[in-house]
Amino acid sequence: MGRREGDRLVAMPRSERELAQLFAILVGQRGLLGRDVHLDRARLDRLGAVDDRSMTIDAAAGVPVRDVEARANAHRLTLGPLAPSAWELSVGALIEHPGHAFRAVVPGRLEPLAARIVAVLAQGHVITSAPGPRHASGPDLASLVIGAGGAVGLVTQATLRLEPLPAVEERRTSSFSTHAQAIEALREALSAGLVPARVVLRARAGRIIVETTSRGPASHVDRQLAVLTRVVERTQGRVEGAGREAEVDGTEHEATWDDVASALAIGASVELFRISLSTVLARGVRAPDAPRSATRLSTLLDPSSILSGER
Amino acid sequence: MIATVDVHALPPARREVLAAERDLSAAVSGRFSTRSLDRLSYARDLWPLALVWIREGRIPPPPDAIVWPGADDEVAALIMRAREHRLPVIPFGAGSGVCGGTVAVRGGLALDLKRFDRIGPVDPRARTVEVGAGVLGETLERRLEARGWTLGHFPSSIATSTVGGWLAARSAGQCSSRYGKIEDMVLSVRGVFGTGERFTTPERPFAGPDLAQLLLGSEGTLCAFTSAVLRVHPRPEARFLRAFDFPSVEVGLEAIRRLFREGLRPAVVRLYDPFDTAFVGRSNDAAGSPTPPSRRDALGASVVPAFLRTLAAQTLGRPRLVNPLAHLARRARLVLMFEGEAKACEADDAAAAASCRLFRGTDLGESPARHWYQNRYAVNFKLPRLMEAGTFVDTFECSAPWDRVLDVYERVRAAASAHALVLCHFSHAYADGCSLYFSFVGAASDAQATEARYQRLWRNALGAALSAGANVSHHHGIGLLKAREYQDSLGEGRHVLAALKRHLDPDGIMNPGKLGL
Repeated sequence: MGRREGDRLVAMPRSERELAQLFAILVGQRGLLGRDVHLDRARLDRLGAVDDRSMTIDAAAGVPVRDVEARANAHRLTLGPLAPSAWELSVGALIEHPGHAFRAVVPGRLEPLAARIVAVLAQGHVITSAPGPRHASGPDLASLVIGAGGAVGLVTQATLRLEPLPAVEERRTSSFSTHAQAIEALREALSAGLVPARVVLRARAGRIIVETTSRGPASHVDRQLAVLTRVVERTQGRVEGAGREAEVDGTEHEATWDDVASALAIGASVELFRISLSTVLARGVRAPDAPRSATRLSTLLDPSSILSGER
Repeated sequence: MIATVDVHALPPARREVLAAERDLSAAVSGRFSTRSLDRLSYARDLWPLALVWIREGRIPPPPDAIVWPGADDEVAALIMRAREHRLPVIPFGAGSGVCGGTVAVRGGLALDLKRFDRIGPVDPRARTVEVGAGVLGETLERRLEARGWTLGHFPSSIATSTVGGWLAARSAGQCSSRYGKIEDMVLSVRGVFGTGERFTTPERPFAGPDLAQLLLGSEGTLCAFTSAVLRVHPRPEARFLRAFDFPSVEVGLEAIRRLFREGLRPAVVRLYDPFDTAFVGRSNDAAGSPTPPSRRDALGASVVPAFLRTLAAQTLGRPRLVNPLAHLARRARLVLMFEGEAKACEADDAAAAASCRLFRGTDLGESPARHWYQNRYAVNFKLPRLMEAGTFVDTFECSAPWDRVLDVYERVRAAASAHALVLCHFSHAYADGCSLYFSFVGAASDAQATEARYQRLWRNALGAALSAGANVSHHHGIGLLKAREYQDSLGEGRHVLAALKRHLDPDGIMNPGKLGL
């Protein structure tokens, strides 16, 4: 199930069983994934049919996200307004990524992009999450891998949530006296039901300019922009018009609203994706220091640290 | 009909608990009791089977003692001492669980967390509040409302359930389609593991697995929660309510699915199947009942229970005859509620109405929906009357993706229909599926036959739900009731759960038997 690339040994499992076998070998040989053996999930390549009723699609971990999107698009569905770097990932990397693994939903909440996953944990156990949009079936074992950066296990298959392909995309520009006002207005709009696809904040002529992009069915976008307009007006902002295409260079990473405020305070322009009340995916914001982690779970579920080289 | 429970019939507290009393009591500043009345009070939650036992004069397994810690350190000290003495610890909120999640199957200590009753200040910038595990839902919501905020969590048990109980069982409220379930509202949880070690889970962003999501739903088997940081929202400016009748369940479900596809997010979505619609309609008619209130009390106290006792044996003992009557009625009633900004609600309500009309929905206006809203917590208080009439009443909630929902409905109905009258409504809708909420009412000739019928009903219903592609619970949890099917559904995941249990509760003292652990 593998190949040699120069000095590198690359494992290419085709199933959960093969991945579990690889983990067992690494445990037995005291090896590390990413150091002694590299993992390529390209052979986990099954892309299932779109479930048009539930708006989901089954995809194996090695399928490129762009291929999932193409199939979804054929059914007038989409993975949604993912942050730009998410489109370069495979399904496995998307689901394990701490920031990209979630999407924003009303009102300013996050929910996993994966409605269901199959994964192999470092000790070789195959876990399958409970079906259904939500459950109260004990601890959520899927949280061991969703957004967990591959710390204790790796995804092999996922059922991904889709949404209707947007019929309309519109931008609105508003402005505020201070960045604190701008951020507060955005938070209030999220609480009121706004789910923007993207927001750019930048300083211009002594004001903070906020460009908000909304997408979806036409009537939905109309309702969204009406919410935004009312919030801007009652938070002492000014509605400036339709806005223009603006981007901020760099790679996005997960940031708090305090991080966003700090960037704006030093005059940086900031571009936000997957915008929730707790965190956003941001460009133009300083990368955080090493975030806190649940290391005790890594010790428990990957006692031989075979996945430590992958993190 | 109802036997009297003799408090003197309570088994005595175990010797090992009595021997350790001084040590255990010291850990919780003396708030420790082995009094029979206390032990009897904590011997049950609202698991209907336990209520049937009590009706027959049988006492569910009681804890040996009750403790009321008031600080995290006290919980940690108590758990450490319980480990030394190998005594089970059963975290206890307000006892409103319906799956036997707090039954003391091996005795031990009921760890009542109601002294964790602090509601911190709302952080208006972050839109968060820290709340103690022992705070009752209604108290929390009233306090938040007074400050201009809402959690948006309104379980029908809101007056009798605590934040800690919500966390332990992954609770859902009636407005979950907008605000999510409790796990969607949690930023961080604090508590004590079965090792006696205190913990606080990190808020986003963090690296590695989401520890909070792993602990939520653990039903006291891994830890005891002491507080949580929760997301709050501005108190809604307006609520728009509206009801529709659809020609069938299938059409009504399709209408809901379309609403979500169009980007609408009602706070409340409830579609009642024909039997349930008949009951909803009946309760609406009762609002205009000519019976004066004084006479209604008399009817409720004597005539109705006597009538029900007779009727129950004749009808609910023969569910195969009663359930097919559902086919005589086909209409399914939908209740929708939008809340939030007034203008946004108005726009959403109009869009939803237009969409429902495309699915041949008959617009009934606000009145039936308003009636539901005004009586939304009443269901809990209607059940005792049915229980007193000699029946058993229970509810089963699960969820499934949209493409499986109808199949789950039909298969669970078919599997349960031989054992009980079956009603169902669909609620807690999401873009990719919804919850199915079955109500079962059954009866049998005697206590033994009733319990046997109850068990057959549950085993069949759970088996049917799982085989049709649903999970075993959407928001009631597992407890003792669903432990077997839950463990079966985990596959190899049960080894992972067992490893977590060994790691976080190495002596196996935390709430034994629940989740099959």
